[in-house]
Amino acid sequence: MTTIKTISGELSCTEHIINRSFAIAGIEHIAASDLMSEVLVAEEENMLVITALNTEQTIRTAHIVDALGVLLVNGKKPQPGMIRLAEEFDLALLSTKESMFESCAAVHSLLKRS
Amino acid sequence: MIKKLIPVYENQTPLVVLELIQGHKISEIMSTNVISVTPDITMRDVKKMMKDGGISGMPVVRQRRLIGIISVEDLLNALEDGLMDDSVEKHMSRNPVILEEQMPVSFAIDYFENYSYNRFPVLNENKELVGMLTGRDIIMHMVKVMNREIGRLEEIARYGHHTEIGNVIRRYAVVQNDFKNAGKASSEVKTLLQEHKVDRKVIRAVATAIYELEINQVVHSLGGEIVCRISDHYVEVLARDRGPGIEDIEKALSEGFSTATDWIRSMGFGAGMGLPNVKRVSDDFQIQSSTAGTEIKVTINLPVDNSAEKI
Repeated sequence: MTTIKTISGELSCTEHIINRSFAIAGIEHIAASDLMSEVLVAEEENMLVITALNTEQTIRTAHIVDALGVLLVNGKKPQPGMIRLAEEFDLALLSTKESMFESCAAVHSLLKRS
Repeated sequence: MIKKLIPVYENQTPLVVLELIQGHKISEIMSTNVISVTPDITMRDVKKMMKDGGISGMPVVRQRRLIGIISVEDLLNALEDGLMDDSVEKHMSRNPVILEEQMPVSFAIDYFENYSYNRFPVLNENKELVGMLTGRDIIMHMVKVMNREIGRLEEIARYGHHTEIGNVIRRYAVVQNDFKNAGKASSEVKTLLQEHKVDRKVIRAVATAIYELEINQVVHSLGGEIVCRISDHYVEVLARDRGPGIEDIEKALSEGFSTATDWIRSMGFGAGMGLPNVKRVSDDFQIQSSTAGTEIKVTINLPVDNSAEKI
């Protein structure tokens, strides 16, 4: 288990929306994909969605699978609608310059370490 | 911003109306039996054709490519100047404003608002002339779909009074290619179920099913609707669209099969998981499809001991 705050620090993330209770909430699983249907297949709880897709549908998908937050990779910036929606759904929204691979590798080692 | 005379994009435009004007393509409503002329015929020939056909304007075409428009006005000018033996090419208006067949009807309405022309040539993606569009075509289309839509709304309104089927009915219009609003139905139903303390896993199943069905209609259909009935014991989701239908249902239900384009993939969908996902989360799944449309009915049971508190 790791936290959104730890991940944010590890990947030097920009924190667009970060809810205080979520910041320390435990992330147990990761769904990493640019195709939202693949995220929707996940059945785990306490997820972080890692993706390069910066549309509102990313936030809606994360909301549907009860994820705690979304991490945008490859230096993608969230569209304004995403930030609004993340706020409404109470989801953390981070972005990093790191690639999908680097991000996943870093989060994986954080998850293993703890 | 200048206020438009035709009020199609007001903030409060009902979804059904948006669906009527955005959910249909120009190719569905244009006239395709177009009388066109070649640039070398004379204005005298044009006069005869217009008079005989009762037309007030014709496209001028060279090897299927549109090169101009000739109108009654051009004809009158030629007549006045005694130039009736000139070729059409000398009198036609060049570089006409055109529409493309894949554009939504809302574009055409905008064009009639922005330009004073009475007709627009319609081109396909190869820039060939495939039809003409007049205000009359739009009126005919609007009346047709209005009849159908209002009829359907009336049916739903009647349905809504019968409480034995469900205690709550929600209806959402889904517009073709409208990724912006896709997901609103699932978010709203999710919130509703959360308020009634339905089991989280069940809510997730319902939200996933509705979401995939919404995306499916946005991506693959000409538009449609999602109707949700929530009772004490189950949630029923009915997704019906106006076509073009699923060619091979068995394939559509197998994981990884997709007919999505690169554009759809760039929007994060088209993994070929949509319908399989819906089927996976539902207790009952029924599908019918023809070229007139696809209807999918999904039921998700609410746990008996933990069913929705008085919805």
